[in-house]
Amino acid sequence: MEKRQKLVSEKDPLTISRNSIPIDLFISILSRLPVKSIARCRCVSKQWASILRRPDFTDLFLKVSSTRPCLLFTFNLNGKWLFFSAPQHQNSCILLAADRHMSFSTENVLSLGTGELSWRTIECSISHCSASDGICINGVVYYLAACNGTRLHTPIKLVCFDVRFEKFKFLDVNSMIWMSTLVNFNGKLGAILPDELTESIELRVLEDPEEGKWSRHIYIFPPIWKNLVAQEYFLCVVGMTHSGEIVFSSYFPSDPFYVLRYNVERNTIIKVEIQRLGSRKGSEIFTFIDHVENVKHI
Amino acid sequence: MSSNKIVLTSSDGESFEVEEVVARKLQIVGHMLEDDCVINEIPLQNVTGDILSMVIEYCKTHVDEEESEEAQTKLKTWDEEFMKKFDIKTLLQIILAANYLNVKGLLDLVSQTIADTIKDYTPEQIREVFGVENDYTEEEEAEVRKENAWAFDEADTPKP
Repeated sequence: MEKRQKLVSEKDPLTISRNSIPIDLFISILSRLPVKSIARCRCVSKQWASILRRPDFTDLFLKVSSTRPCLLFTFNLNGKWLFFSAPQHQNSCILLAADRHMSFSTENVLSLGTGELSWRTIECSISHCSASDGICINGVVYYLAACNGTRLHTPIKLVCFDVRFEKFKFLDVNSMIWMSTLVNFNGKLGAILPDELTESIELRVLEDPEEGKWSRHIYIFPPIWKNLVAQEYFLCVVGMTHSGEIVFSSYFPSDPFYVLRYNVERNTIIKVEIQRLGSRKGSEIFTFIDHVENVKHI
Repeated sequence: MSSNKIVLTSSDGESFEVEEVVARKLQIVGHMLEDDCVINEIPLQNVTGDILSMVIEYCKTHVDEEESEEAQTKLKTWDEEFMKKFDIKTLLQIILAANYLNVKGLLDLVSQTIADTIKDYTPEQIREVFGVENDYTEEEEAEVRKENAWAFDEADTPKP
């Protein structure tokens, strides 16, 4: 509410529209649009463009957008990375239209931040080499890493890096976890074990990081699973959403392209067709969950 | 709950007799009732009868919001169907009414519906619907469109 009042500043001329919609209602509507629509709205008028660039709008947009995370898809086509997104929380929806986003040439992908930021090296007592994607949960970054060992044995450990205190912790892990996909399981670190994904899926949850204690959960897929995945080759685990769904997708773009959402609590599966990606066979596709749109840098 | 009846009168003189619990969903009415509990007829100056009747329909349906997941899903489905009835012009009138009458749930619902409706609009369509004057010169508009060219792929143009 406070934010809203701030947005209704007296500086705003009342000519934002002729049908007398107050500016706070406008802002509230526009903050619910996808990034792509915001880009189009900037072309409506100079005044709209200036409102949409103001930090009070971009902050609100980020706040609203973080309540509706998206699925993000990217693949390389003729040297360009194409990005698409689709809503993540459409409960019963089995058809989703993906929105096409900007595309980048490979050489200019890395232009993060404002230029004032710089990288700093943090020393770690154990030399190690990251062997998985990292995941950040409650200020701790977890990743699997190959640590210096003997010539015959390079142990894989779970690295827990506490961002606030800049402290590393190394946990010995069962070799089953080495190739797993790390996920956020209700605020705890989960590891989904690599598997054929034929009948079940196994999840290990780090219950006590101090003691390195894990709990083990095996979820048996409902019978419908076999029919749903019959045509899907190279299925991979993308991650786990906040609502407790494990998301699977294929490694390769197919037409149509599907994402499977398995709810571990309810033991339900939804196969979602993602439209508009087009038929682009061959190149690998990367799927991400929990993507939050932001209009600050467009 | 009290089963007092309250009469709400629109700007064009249409009257609606509703249960007090329904009328209280309109926070503007709620506040009036708190200030003086003997009112039973309330004139609402900024909303016409046809729009007020929609707002009342929403409030009647949402009068007892149960916590159970089943009830929530049912309400959500009802909301979706309810919103499908309206075109963009009517939605804009409903949002103004929901804002004036201060019906929080409806305000959120209509804001989201409008956003979903205009999501694929072209700048021209947005100007038309919201009555916005295009203050770009031709060159400026070409420039800003070029900057945002990625947002204009053909597949997104809505069907007429």
